[in-house]
Amino acid sequence: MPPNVKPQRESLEIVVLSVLSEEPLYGYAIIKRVANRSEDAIRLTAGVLYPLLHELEAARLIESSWETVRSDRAGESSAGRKRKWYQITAKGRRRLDQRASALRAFQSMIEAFLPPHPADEEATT
Amino acid sequence: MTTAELDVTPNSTNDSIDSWLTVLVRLLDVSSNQRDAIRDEIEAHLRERVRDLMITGRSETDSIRTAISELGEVADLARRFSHASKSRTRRTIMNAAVLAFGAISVATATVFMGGPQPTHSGIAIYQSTPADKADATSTLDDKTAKVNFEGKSLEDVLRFLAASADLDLVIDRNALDQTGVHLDEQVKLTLSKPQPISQILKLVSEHGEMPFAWRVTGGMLEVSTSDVFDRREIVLASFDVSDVLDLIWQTTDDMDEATGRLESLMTEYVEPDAWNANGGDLATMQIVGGKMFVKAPARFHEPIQWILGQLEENAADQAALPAAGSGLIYSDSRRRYDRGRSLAPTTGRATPAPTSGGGAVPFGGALGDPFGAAPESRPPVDEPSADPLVAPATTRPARGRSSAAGSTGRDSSPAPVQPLPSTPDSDPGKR
Repeated sequence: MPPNVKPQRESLEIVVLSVLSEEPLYGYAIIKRVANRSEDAIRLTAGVLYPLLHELEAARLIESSWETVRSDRAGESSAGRKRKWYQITAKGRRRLDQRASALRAFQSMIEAFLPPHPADEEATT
Repeated sequence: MTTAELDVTPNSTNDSIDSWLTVLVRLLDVSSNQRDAIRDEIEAHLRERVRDLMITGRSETDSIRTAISELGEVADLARRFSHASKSRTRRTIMNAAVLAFGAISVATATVFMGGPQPTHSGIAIYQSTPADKADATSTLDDKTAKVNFEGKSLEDVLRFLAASADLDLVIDRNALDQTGVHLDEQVKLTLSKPQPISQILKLVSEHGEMPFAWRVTGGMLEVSTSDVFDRREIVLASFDVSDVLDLIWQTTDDMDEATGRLESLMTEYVEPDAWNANGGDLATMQIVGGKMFVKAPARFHEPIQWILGQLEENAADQAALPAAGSGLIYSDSRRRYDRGRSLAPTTGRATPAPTSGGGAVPFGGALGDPFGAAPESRPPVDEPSADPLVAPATTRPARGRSSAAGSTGRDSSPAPVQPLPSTPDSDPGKR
């Protein structure tokens, strides 16, 4: 990703819905999954991701459930920690398809106006 | 569900993380349930992040500091969450971005690049001249006059009213003349008590059958025709209609038909004669992806917003549209009566229907279900996923909606990114 390009809100929505379309994940796992998938080009911050997840959940694009993580650590409270898992809904999948289609259409349209990539130019000369 | 995992989080993180979380929670302007849920979720994130950082060899203190700093300013995070909890209703209107306004606009609204963007989610559907609204409300509504216009010419009346409001008068004589409004026409209006000047202008226009309009800008009372002001105040705005399309899509299974229905709904109920699709030349719209781009006079956008709000509400609540005769009313009667002003018409719930004059669109009653959607026919949200990549049932968290669901507004500002230090456990989501 070029250094001066930052993902916009709608792009982040696609990114999050996309990784959740593969399997349920919790917030921290989403951050790592996105970093891995984009080869560190997209690095979601927790401060952006969690409010976004709440928004997507309110829009019923994703849904959540809580998991209690039991600790094996001696002396730790037996109650364990809570972890919130998110998974995409049917509506979220439709939204993802919709956004992806619009994005592809935009890409193909704008492609005609992009100058040739330097590498391609070198290859042709 | 309960699972076990190796926990290497040191005890001493409790104090630091707890302190930070306490500050966050105090700053949250959300319900107590949401507050607890947000705290639990962020706490889990912090603990896991600290654990991962410590595994890479960093000190506990440094790990905590890094983990917390990755969340950004606590006040900013609290604001985002609070914004999320309040934006549920705003989503019915949401994400309207004024991209450009004025007579110079792109011919079609397929893609607009480079226009001003909203700084955050909101309801900035249109933007007329800010001073217009301010002056209109503060000057014409606040200043009153006692009038006896028996036999006065329209021009004399306008001059008197402008002077009473301490405004200079600018008259678009040609436009008025072409509309059949002649400045030498006699006005007959006598009021025994002082009335707001805005009200007097309405009475002169309505009762005198002189269809003129007016605006207040920069200390001037400008009098012309509605058509002139409409063309001057054309706005290109985008509305997020993805939820609405989703609702229609479920009933039609055809996205082209869904977009067509939505376009028809707008062009039929909001100033029908003005739309390009109906032979007019004031307004056009196009739906691309989940966005509806509308280039139209500023005053059109509020009723459009209202209709979308009704549909969004329906989509969000997955409830039936109001039964026939129920009272969701959009009334543009105020605008019709007060057509010279730039202020948007009032919206909201009201019963009974507004007074006659055709200014009301009773939604649900007169229209019924515009898409023939039976709420029961929609697929359940939590239908089982057929995705083969979904984790096995034994490790997948139980389905079900969290009681701590929040929401956030459409923040279209660029999302900040920060480096994410690599950790051995590169993908904790795989189980």
